[in-house]
Amino acid sequence: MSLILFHSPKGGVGTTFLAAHCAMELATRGHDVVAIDFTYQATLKLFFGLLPDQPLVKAGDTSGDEIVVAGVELFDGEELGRSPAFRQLLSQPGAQPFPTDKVIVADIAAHDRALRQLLMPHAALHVVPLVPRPAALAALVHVDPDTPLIELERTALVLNMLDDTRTLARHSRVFLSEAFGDLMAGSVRRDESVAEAIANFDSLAKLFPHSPALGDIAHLAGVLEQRAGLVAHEAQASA
Amino acid sequence: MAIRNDVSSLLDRIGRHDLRYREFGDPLGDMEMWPIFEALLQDRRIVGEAPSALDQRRRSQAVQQRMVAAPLPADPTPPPPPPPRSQPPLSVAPQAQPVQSPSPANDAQVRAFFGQLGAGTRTNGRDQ
Repeated sequence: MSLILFHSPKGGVGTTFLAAHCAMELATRGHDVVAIDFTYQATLKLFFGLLPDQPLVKAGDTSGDEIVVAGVELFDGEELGRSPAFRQLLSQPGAQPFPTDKVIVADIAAHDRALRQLLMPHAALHVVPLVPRPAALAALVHVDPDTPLIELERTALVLNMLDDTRTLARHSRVFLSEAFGDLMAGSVRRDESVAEAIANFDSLAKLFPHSPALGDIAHLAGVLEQRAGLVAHEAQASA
Repeated sequence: MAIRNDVSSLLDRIGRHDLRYREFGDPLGDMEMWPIFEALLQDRRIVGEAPSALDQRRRSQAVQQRMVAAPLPADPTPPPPPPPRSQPPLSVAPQAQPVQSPSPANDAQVRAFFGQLGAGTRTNGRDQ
């Protein structure tokens, strides 16, 4: 399976930013990447330098041209995600609907835990972004409704918007690393250039190629690549 | 010693590869055990089954050995007790959703979507 879910139990922690840039980084690493925006806010495209009124191809609509940006094929999956047929298919025992030769990055809204639950059995990895703020840390208890956090497999915590000059942020990073060990996949520094790039309707890599956040994403994507088994998959494919 | 990612990026940017890298201090020495951290470590939804008193003591000792405890307020408010074990941690479950029969249109959309994923060609796409 090559489905990677990006879903956090807390909104506003940069889930869409991480999904978009990890998708781009994985494409740079040679993977065939599809990114599906399952949120109603439809902001994933902004991180690719697209305009707010520029519609993506709806998942399941074959009438339009596909949109590929930075090596990532983009879909608007909001309608599909609400489709009873889609949800029914996902819940069927033994269903394997997703192709294994592509990396599918799914951006899921914080409130849509039902979709996260339905997609999880099909996922290679669930990336849980959080920020070093109390509300986000407290929301860690809601990552999975059935399984305690430390027992979760195929789960990767990512601390986003990290500012080591802030005491709580610095302590949170140390705490998460010590308390959750391998569950922590990495951290991404707070970087104002992320917002500035979007405000310019341009990509972060183009406007701010030396962005600290981009450097962290490159490192993080390597970790996620390993955790999702993508490296082994590629090696097997080339063998 | 593995160089920190941000330090590596900084040195690359300023073109200084002649500097020796050394990390100073123990990051844990700077650590405070904020009450929210303690609450997370005691929450069954984080750590699983309620540990025995001995397990809890061992865990607490292990954490305390590695972290410098912050001075607590004189009269700290006790953290809320964890929910009883019989209570499901969360109420969201896929099967709790009302079951709807998929319409033919939805079926077609799902089939078309997985067809899109399996197409594997990008010749008509806009690659920006």
